Amino acid sequence: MTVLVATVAGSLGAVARYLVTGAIQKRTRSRMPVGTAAVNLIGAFALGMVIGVDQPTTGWLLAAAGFTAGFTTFSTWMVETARLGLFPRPSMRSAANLFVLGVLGVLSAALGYYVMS
Amino acid sequence: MVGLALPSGAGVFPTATLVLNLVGSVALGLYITRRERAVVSRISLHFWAIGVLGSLTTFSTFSVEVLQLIEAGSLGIAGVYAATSTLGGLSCAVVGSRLGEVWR
Repeated sequence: MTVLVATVAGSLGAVARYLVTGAIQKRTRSRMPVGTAAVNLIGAFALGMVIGVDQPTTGWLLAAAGFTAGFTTFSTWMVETARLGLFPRPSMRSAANLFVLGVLGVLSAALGYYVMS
Repeated sequence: MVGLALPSGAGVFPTATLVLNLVGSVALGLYITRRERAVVSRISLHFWAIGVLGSLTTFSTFSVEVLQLIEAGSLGIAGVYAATSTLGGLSCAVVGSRLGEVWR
């Protein structure tokens, strides 16, 4: 049952990521991967909220964690950062995408956590 | 997979998330590069790159784990975890992309 809940939630999260990333990226002219940044920050905020809930049930926790895990993506963040230019030396865009999103991710999670607790 | 979606406890180095994120970064770098060389089809790109490989890795759990380590006062572990994840993940993405260029 736990596997089923996490799998379904993760799949729904992945489909939602595909739709949201596409919708955002289509509406911007930015060369930065803002679609990926948006889903990742929203997902980090949401999971922060989940762990901020006082005594959540296991089912709820699994569904929420599964959904945000599917909704956010670490690998796309890494591949896109690499593609913003690393050689011969890292570009500003690449460094900004890595460090700014990394820091904002933790801040988003913290914000979600404190909103709920 | 299931337990991995849940953040690991405070003060514990999140090895499972790190491994999945690194493996996913190599795989996605490899896959995307092969896709650009038109070795794989478009429907396959959607399934693997966006669905499977994108979901295998997680940004939300990573962020929450760093937050929990900081909150628990384990600043050293938080720093090492964040550094190995990001710099390691980037290296993995580059290695994967290079493999994708040479793999026929």
